[in-house]
Amino acid sequence: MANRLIAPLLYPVVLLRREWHRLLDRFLANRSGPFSESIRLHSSLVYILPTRAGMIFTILLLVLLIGSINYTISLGFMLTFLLAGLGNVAMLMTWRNMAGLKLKGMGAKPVFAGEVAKFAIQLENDTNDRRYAITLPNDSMPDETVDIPSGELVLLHFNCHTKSRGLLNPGRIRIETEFPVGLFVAWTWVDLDMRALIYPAPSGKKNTTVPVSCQSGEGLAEGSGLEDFAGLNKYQAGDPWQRISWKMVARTDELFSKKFTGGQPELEWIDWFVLDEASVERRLSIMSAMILDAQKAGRLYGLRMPNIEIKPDNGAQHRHECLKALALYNIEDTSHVH
Amino acid sequence: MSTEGRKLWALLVGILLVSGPFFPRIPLPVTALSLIMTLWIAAIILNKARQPDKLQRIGLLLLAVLIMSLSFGTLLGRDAGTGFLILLAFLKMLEINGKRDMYIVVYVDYFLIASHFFHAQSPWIAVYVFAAVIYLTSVLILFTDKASTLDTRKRLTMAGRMIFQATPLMLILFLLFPRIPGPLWGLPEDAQAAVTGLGNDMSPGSVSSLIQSEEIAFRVRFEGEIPPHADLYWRGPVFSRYDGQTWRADNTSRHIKVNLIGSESETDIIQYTVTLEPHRRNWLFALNYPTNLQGSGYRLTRELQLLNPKKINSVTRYSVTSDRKLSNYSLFESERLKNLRLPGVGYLNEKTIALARRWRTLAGDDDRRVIEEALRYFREQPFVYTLNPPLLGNNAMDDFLFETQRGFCEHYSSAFVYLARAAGIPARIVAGYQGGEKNPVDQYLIVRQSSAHAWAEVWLDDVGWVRVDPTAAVSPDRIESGIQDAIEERDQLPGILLAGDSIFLKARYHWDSFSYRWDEWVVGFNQDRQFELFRKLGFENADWQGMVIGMVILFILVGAFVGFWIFRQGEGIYQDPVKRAYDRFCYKLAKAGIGRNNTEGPSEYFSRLRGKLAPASAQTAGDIIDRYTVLRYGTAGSPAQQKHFIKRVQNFTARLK
Repeated sequence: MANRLIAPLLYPVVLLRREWHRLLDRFLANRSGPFSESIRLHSSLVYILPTRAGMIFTILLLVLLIGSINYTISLGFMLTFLLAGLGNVAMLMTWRNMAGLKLKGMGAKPVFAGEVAKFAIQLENDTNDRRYAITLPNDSMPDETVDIPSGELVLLHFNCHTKSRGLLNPGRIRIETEFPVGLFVAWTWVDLDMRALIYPAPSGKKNTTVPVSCQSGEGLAEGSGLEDFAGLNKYQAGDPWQRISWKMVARTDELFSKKFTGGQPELEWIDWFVLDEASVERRLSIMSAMILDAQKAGRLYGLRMPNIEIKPDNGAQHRHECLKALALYNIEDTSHVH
Repeated sequence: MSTEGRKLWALLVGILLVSGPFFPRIPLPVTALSLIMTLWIAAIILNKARQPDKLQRIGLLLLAVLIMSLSFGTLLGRDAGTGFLILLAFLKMLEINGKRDMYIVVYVDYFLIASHFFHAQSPWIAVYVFAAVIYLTSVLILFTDKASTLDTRKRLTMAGRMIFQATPLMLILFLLFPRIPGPLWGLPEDAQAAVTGLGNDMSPGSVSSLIQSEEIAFRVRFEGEIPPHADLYWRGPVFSRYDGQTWRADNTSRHIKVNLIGSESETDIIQYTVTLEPHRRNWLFALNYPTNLQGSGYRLTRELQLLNPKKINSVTRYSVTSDRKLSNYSLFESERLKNLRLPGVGYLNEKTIALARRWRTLAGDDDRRVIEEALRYFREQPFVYTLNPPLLGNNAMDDFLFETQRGFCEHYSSAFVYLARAAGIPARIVAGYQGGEKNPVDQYLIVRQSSAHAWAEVWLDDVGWVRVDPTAAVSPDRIESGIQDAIEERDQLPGILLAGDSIFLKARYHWDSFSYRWDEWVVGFNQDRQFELFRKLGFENADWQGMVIGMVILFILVGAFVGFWIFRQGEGIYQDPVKRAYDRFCYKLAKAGIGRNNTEGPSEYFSRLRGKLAPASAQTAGDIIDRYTVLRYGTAGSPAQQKHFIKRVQNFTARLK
């Protein structure tokens, strides 16, 4: 009832807020990036406002001032003005603590949709002063706060929840500091032009009839098989990790892959065209699950998509290539993918 | 220790730092409760106890209110308010929860610092304020130092530096902020601390109780020589009504405006400036007869008292011209009657009246002869000047004059006035201070409470009011040289009145000289002083508008300077242009895949570069690195050379793209 009465009264406030955000966005749009390279926080990128503690501090100063006038206490004036001076110094120091830092977006490791993408930002302090208590506020994890000594690089992280596959843009990032006294907060708001690659969430039908279309001889070295152990080879990128000889690792500190001969290596194509599923996203999810499955089982698998075909293989890099292909299916702007 | 624990310890120390000095002054139960809560808080921090739950908190609050109302009878006012604030600070500490509460505790601490000023505003207090503010600032730094990299010493150093940087801003505001004369509204009764000083009335003991006090009543700077000790009768309140026990002031003629005209001969004029410590009364002290005074609002009454319209609640400075002789003063008939009146039945002191009548008969019409007789009586009878007179009965004068004969100046002056009135001579008591202590370091006079005195004035038709000091008849030393030579029980005098070691004495005078200036320029800094300061600086027509404008301009200028100072700690954000150009050069090469390692010096880098670049580019890059080594590590190049270097780097990097 009360809400219904008050809501119309608040409507202008809502409008004003909306308008304010629009103006703020326009203001920031021109200055806050995106910066794909390292960006130095110039004065125009560092904003500062009193914190709530700072506003209460102002009220405290007013009360002290009025008290001093009323009781004609000279030292009261002195205390009031000393604290006012302190507030000024604090403002300058807080701003100074943020200005001049260099920021660089370091991106995030690929994750599956629904997981949390963890972005990293590199902060570089090439000035002569230590920077204290620089904070990256986080929604889903405790705020990360670091000191950056002069001449050092430090990484700060933040989490983003992901919903759908593709490229996730975290948008503008806020980095702030209240150092030294918490009366002011200085912050920057920049777009560091980062994207996280989001694989389609692996889903459901993992073990249902996997429509594998087998074709022998593609992409495989002659004579290699899966059944009879035939010795060790030095590990090469792309060798499935299931074949690493852990005994040898323990003995020599080097990686060797077990070599097999004989038999036909299990080989499968994860094929867009044979999947019987109408929804594109569902289809991608199922394929994602199949990739994981094949990878885990140590099978050799290839990926066939309308726009790309990846030859069968097994390994972390291969897995990534395949999942990336799924993630970026039908996504136009892929300029941020490395 | 956990971060939270460190913060709480720091806060607890902060509260104790600002409330500790109050503990001896506030009622014992308040102190006791504070200390108990301190222990409790310490136990909570050490995980030996839990925070009080809601019920316990309410209980504690009720207990605090109860203690306050039993001790003070109120929660309002200065002392009670301070005590309550202390308890509230501890209570808040007990239930602290999060950053916001911590800030609240620090803010309460700031108020507690300010509460000290009600009691004293000495230089020591100023030092204490700075120390406390630095400490509290270091606590705030602890709150924001989330990476916990600063230890206590570093935090204190940083806080000290911040306060040092804030001080110029404070000075500007202190000197230029318009000092609106207070109070803005009525002050509570106990707004100001109780002070020692002369009261509104006088009864036996009221002056002698002041003799024990070393506190300073006022300081005086004379234009020219300091008059001899025996002439320094600082007139304060005048008492003309006597009820047999107590002398009181008569306020009936206060509204009458008086303009005195002195003889105006050079030798009779004394000019001086008094810096009066707050005594919570209206009167000002002056030598006879104040004919001219500077400053607004002061008034001279028919009783030749100087009055200020408001009570003197802060250090007050006024300049007076006194004239030893007056040329225009008469006595109204009502005043004559008033100054002849004796108390009613029961307090008549018949023997005293008889004595006075006897002198009158002897002297006939000659008032002076009566006065002579009275003084001779004091001189010849075995009177003793003492701080410990026996108690007197209802007929106080009879008891004193004929039996005990031991007393202090209030006894002698009141007995004398009584005798004079009984003999038909208008007489009254004047209280004030007699003498003073010369500060040889700075040539001014220090008048302490211990110089409090009371004497008599009688009306002689041919000359007007004449000062008579019967104490001088009993103990001439008191007037000639001061209290320390006059009193018999020397061990009862405070140490300060006894002559001490000369080095100690000299140091004391230096300190007093400093305190005097402190009182004049800091504690007593008000609108008048502000304008005076500007006149001294050459701004003849300073007004407050100009002052505000000046304040804002200066604040911005000094603020900019302080800002510059803060930003230049270390070398600042932007390195020199040569370094910047070189950085760009390295950056471009890094992009081309030949980055410089952080540990690599220029020459090492070059040897690595040479293999990877086209020969022409390698040549240029080598030149650039060589130039850089010279510019940066050799003699600093001329601006032209620097410019050339930068240009070269720009060309190189442009081609590299």
